[in-house]
Amino acid sequence: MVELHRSLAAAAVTLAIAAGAPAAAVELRLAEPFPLRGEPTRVEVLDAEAGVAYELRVTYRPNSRTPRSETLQLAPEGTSAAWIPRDAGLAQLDLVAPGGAAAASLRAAVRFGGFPATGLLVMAVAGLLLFGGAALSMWLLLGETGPRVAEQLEPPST
Amino acid sequence: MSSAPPASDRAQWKSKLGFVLAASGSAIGLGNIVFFSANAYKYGAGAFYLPYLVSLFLVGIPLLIAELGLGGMTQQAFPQSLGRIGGRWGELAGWWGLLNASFITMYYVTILAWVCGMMVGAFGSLWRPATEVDAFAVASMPNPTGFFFAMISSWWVVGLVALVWALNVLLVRRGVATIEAAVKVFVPLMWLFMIVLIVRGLTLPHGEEGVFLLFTPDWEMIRGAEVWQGAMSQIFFSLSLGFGIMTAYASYLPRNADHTNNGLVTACLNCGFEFIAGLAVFSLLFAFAIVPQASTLTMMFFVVPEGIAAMPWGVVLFGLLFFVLLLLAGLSSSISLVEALLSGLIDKFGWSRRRTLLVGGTIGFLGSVAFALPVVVDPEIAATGTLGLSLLDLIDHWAFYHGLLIVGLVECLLIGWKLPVARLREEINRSSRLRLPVAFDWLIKLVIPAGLVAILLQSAWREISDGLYGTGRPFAGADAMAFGCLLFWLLGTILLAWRLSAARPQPAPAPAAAVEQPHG
Repeated sequence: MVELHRSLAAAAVTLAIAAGAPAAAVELRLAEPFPLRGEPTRVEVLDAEAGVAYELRVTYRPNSRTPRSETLQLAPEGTSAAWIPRDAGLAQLDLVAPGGAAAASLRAAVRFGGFPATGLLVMAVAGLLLFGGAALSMWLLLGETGPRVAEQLEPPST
Repeated sequence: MSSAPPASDRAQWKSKLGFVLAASGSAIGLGNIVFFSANAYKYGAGAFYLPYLVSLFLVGIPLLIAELGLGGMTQQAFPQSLGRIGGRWGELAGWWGLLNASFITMYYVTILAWVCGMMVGAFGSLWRPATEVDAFAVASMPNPTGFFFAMISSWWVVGLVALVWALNVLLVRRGVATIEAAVKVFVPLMWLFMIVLIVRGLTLPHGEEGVFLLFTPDWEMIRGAEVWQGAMSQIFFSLSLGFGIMTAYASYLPRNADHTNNGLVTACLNCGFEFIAGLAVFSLLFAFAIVPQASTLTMMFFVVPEGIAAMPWGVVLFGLLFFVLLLLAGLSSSISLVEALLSGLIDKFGWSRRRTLLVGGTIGFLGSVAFALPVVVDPEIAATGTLGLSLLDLIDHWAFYHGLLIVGLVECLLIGWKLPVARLREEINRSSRLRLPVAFDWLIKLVIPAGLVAILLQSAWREISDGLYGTGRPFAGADAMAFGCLLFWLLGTILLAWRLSAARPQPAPAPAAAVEQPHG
């Protein structure tokens, strides 16, 4: 249950934004709700304050020990940006105002696009090892060695 | 040194299936359902899974077999088993391990009480948009977070703690007989409920992509040492190693039981359960683009319920199913924790089970109440909110993340070098259908201790570089609480372990009084 403090603190920050702070004026929206890895999509910035030089950052695998970030180029009018997701999985888009404060955030789930062969292979091998291993051990345990141990478990008939 | 009842007098499992269900039920707990997914995400999901599998076979299974073999060989509880190997110091280490596990049991029961509270909320109020939390500075919070903080800041949780302790006492009152009866119902139900949740997760739009995320390796990240350390820790905690449970459970098996297969089936079922739990949770995370936090509590009480609340239909049904599943998994683990301590005390002092349960249950209940104290110490919820949750977080950090690893390390060194391990391997091989190779000896003697030392050193370095865990939190008395908890845990367990290991063993009671027989 490591990092409970940091996790709850993060949750509290989210709460403060949701419950106490005024509703964010700026909003991010994806043209494609579940974008595909390697396929271009568009991020729309709604109700952005005119004249403010925002920065749009993408963090792949946010909250993990292996995050990766990139900055997207906003169109000159600041209302949209093109995005080609580099990694599949969870990502977070943050619209950052000058000074570093996040003006808006959006979570996204980037699809793999097709069936990843290595992923399916790992899943199959793991499933086989775990469930096959459990079945084999159970069979060995309850099968031929059974009577010998059962003798120990049962009280003498006399 | 100790005076356990003779092997022939000791209660035994009624069936081998009963033992397997009890051991796997013990290993499968709250951590398997939520912490595995949180940890997997934290270390890169696909990058994590292969190191996790390798750790299972190189660390988890060998140490699990060693713990089972030790219990089978000595026919005694954990402290007495280590005492057989290492004399007074070995027994002291064993008691320290059990007392450390007792701290974990106390807050584990508190968490189960919160699960009960969330289960009640799942009938309706948990799924409302927000909950008013008068105890905190934030008047209203969005659910499920709001419901959770409102619950832990109210005194009715103490009643739930009493209820969960009563259930534990009821389930262990006749030792292996009642435990076996309980797990025969609990464990199949857990699997059934989890399968229902998988089906729901995978049928969500793009739910299958979450599965790809969990299993598709990221070859770049997999090279990182941190990912391997995370995987090894996960395996260690997931299999309930270092608790002394498996040694206690195996001591109720006949001396010639097949510990290799018992270990294999327990480990495979445990990790198989994590496999399917990963399918359910990752499909939910992906379908609703939820970013998890690497913490059992946040995952259990905030993240997964958030996903369930977002489901288009069946919110109450799946919410209830999830919390009932948590309760069953938690109870099958908590009874094993209670039993490990009881067996140690009964073996040492020859007390009756009723008396041991009364003393242990009362102390345990009071400890659990401390972790449930709803007094608000942090009104802004900048850290952990209530006194109980703050104490739980601090003790968890030391007992769970450090204590268990230290016990595992001492256990490996004692078994590996003092016993020595070749003797244990020969003993295990004598009655096992699958023979352990010589490599088993080197895993126990060198590989596992080296891995544990690396993790402990890294943790120690983090305490030095980041500051002692829990200090610097933005509420009054946080530093004193952090130091106080560390001292209380460390000195309390060491002094009491010293006292227990020095106490003269009492003659074993009559078998019927020591461990009541199921139909006796």
